[in-house]
Amino acid sequence: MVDAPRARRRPRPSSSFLRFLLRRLAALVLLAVGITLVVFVLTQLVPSNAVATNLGEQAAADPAAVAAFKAHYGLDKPLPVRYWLYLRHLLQGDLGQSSLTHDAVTHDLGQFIPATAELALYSIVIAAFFGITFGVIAAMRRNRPTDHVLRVVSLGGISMPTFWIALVALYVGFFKLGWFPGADRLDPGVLPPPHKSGLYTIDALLGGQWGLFAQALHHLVLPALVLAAFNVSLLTRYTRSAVLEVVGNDYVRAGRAKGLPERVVVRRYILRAALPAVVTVLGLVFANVLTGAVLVEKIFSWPGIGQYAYQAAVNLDVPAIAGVSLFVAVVYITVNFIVDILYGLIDPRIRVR
Amino acid sequence: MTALLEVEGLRVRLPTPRGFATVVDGIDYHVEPAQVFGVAGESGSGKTMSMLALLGLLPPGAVVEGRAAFGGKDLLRLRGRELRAVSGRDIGMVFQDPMTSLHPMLTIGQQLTEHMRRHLGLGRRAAGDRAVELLDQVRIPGPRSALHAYPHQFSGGMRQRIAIAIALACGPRLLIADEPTTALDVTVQAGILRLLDRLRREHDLSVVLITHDLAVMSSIADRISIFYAGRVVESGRRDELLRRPRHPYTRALLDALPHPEAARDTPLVAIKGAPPSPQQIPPGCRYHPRCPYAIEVCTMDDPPLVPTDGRRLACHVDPFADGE
Repeated sequence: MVDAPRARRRPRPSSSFLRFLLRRLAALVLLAVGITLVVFVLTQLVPSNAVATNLGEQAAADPAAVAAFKAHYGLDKPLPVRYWLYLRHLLQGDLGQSSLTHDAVTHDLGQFIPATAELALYSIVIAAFFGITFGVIAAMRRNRPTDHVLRVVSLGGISMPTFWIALVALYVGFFKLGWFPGADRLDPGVLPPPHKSGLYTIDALLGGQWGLFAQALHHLVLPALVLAAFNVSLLTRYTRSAVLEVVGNDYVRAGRAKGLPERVVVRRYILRAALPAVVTVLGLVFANVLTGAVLVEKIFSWPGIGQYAYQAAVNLDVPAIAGVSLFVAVVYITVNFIVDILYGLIDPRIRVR
Repeated sequence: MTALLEVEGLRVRLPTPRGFATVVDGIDYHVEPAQVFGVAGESGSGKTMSMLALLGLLPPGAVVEGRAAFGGKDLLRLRGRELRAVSGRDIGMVFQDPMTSLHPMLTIGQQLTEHMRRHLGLGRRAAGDRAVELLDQVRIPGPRSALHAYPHQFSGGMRQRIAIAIALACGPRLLIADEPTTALDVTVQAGILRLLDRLRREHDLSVVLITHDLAVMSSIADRISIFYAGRVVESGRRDELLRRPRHPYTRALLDALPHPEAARDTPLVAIKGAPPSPQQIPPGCRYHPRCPYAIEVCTMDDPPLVPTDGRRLACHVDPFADGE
């Protein structure tokens, strides 16, 4: 075939896509630096006395001990120098020491992140699946009973605060019906699976421990559903309007005129075109889940960073708060970065810009 | 010669907030093999709706009555799988605006092969080869690399050629082209019309060409029906109809055409008034409020479409009967 080399050459989205990628990446780095500044300034604004919280009353009364403490942590230096110190430590992976657990914040985060990650993962998958499905169904059955029912339900899901849904779910699912466990990731006294990813369901599967997998899943159901509730509603509403914006398009009609089965038309022609809007909301869902986790983890005694952040906030554990904020912020901008990339992958027209 | 498509008493009603609106009200026509059948009329005359009805592409809630015989089947009775077996395979469709009728996020190759693979059972490779052949036929330069390109990488005229290639991919017997040149530049228009004409001859293809532009009609159509407010007012062979129009509306449409060779001081004639909305169809002849020849009977009796002098005409007055 004479044409072979040309046939393999795609119409080069690659080079422009690479440039698009690099531009976004540069923005990501700048944003990350900005976030460290914000986090740092916030820790300075918090009216907490690092000396008092760390030294205890007796030592804090001794000027020599206070001076030594300040010199050791660089608290006697001017603000910009302290920021510079903070950044240097950050680059070495040092987030400081929690005044509550007296462990390195990075160590604490390492302990708590997997629990939150597991909860968030399931919650996001649930929200994405049901939210998008409901949204498409509502749009395709526009102004018919199914649509009305979904509208009322999603309005309810958005209007009810998550902590309230959590309490009701706990009361009904755990206390009244006894169908679900009420707290923690596993039953009391049960050893977690050998640590690989830190996500119990995955680790249990990797170890072939089916019973443990089922138990971990059982514990996840209620908090994950509660955390998903708001986001299912959000996604339902946004997907519905995104789909409605697309269904009237000529190319959807053209797809039907080609005699494609309805499910192909819905998936390839309608949902595909509505996807950019849906992905945007998915990014929001990610953020919602991370913030919502604080309350849900508290109510379900879920040992994740939400709990950790809650404890840190209540006890004015500034390094821990700063560490969690930084972590959440980094997740957030990473998700945004991924969303931007997805736009480019979904819609070829964006790559050109 | 037996007709390829024979439509009888087609009636389309669309749901509106204030009840149903009858946008197509009892239309008959037939399309013969390897001929171009032109449908002309102002916007809102029911041209597009009458075509969408054939493939079940009307907006949800629309009610369709009548009969559309095609290949021994009544298109209007087909549902689901049966209808999909005809759409895209035996009947291809080209839409007005090529900027919106192609999916912006699918490659040309995907849009060109997906229905071939389904209808003709072609493999990926065979469908790809056929796609290249089709793009070549509609004169897309570099057809093989075009397969991997997206619609936004092509101009309007190119996109319409691609849309035509998509409609022809499964070797249909009938091509329905809804204002295929309206959104394009005049120079590009001519190219698309030549393309349609060539494809019709090479592939033994029948074409239903919808347009409001009688100049487009005159260059390619074999037979023409003039639609007005959901009815056919006059239909017949192109030469008859365009040389000696009998219905005052056909006449007015022709007078409204700009003639470059005409004297500069002859003003362009616009048709007075606007076509009626489907909710406010006047009694009697639907055209009478705008018709300079209307007499009393026109305001009361709806004129039937009757064979008259080698054509079919719906007019009480028939002011141009003597050839004028």
